[in-house]
Amino acid sequence: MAFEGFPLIVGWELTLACNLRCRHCASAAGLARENELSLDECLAICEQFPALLVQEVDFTGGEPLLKPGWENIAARLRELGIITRLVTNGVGLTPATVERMKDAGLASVGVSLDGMEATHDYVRAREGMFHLVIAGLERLVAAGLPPTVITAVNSLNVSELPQVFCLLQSLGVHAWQIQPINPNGRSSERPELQLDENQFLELGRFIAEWSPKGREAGLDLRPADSCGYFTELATDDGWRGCSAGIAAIGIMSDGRIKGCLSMPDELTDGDLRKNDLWDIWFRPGAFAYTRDYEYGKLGPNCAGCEHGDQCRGGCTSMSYTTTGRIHNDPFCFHAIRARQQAGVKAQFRREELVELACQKCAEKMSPTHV
Amino acid sequence: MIQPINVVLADWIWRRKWIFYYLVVVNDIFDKNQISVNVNPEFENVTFGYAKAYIEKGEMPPADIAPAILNMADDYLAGRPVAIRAGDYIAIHNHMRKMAK
Repeated sequence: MAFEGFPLIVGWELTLACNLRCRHCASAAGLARENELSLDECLAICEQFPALLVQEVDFTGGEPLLKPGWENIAARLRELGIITRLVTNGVGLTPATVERMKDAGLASVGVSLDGMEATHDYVRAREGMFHLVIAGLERLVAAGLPPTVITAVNSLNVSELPQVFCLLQSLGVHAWQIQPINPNGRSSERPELQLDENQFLELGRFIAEWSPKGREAGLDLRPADSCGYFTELATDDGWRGCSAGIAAIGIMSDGRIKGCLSMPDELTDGDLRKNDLWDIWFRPGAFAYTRDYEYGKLGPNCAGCEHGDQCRGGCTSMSYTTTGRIHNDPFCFHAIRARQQAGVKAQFRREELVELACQKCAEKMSPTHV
Repeated sequence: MIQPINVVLADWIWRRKWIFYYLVVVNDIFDKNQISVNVNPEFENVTFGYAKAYIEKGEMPPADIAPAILNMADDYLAGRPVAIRAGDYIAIHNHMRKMAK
């Protein structure tokens, strides 16, 4: 039967240019890609969305605020009736920018906050960024533009999450997306930031324990795709497998297409400069890694799992970047528990990661964080 | 004025409770199995033209979109909001794209 899904959610990397060089950046953002889409090309792409039933577009980067004309794209999407949000590193949230965001009709703004001051600024590789982000969050709240704080959890900030919770509560933030660091891009050169299996479980315990407190306090904790599944630690048992190429799609700033922007660049599935989105989306064989899933495709981390039909091997990006395979997510809570109960040696132990880091990139490391 | 139509998503799509990496704020998009879409004038002209020809003259639409058009004609005649299955919606678009080449 022909595929009948739609790209209901679009992640759109407006530019890979960024004014920061974060140590954990999975996109290795900094300089713009060669030959990024022009504003006119972006606006033309917007016109393709309604027929494909696109419901929401989330601008990412790089730093999307560095894309000239981002407001024009947002405004056109609003005219088309499409919800538009923007994810920023938060250092450019001046009063004028917040006003432009409101005028452009953004439904909300995602702001990265990766720990308390020392850790956040270490991850950002620049001092003073924490205070800029906090000031930006205060401006968004005051302007009535609801921020969602996004925290990429790493080995340095996993123990700070309760403090961050209290901080967000005091700032009047109501939504907090928590996602484990993805070992891709610059992050892949920073094994000392990666979570090991026990830290993944620590993250799970935090979410399980603090989500009810968040509901009481009006702060909604949302673990992202790569955080779960099928234990009491996963607060949402609704995980039904990776939606990349099934109900979601990612547009790179040069027009190439991925099922999800968090995937490595080698997993592209088309180019908007060569084909329109309809043809890319409905091309027979497109996004086969999720659309043509069968239980037998599960990798060794997931093989034999009773949840395999539903789960499909966890987060595609996490699976691929850590193991080189799809349907093989090594950081599934359920799988970690099963391995620990069976006495199987952990695949990712912190001591080994640090040792690897020291061998590979000792010159880039800060001894205080090893 | 062009009326929006409802596209009925396949069960296996909407019953999945997707979580999205980039979904900044989870909303209710996936709590419904129908998506209302403001079709473009071309879509309306094509579908309404075929439906009208079928209703008034008994002319059958092209085979690749006949089931979709007949269902839409039923909705027109009954005065109901038009609702079509995702597969039919895709077939109509593919037909239009083929005709445009």
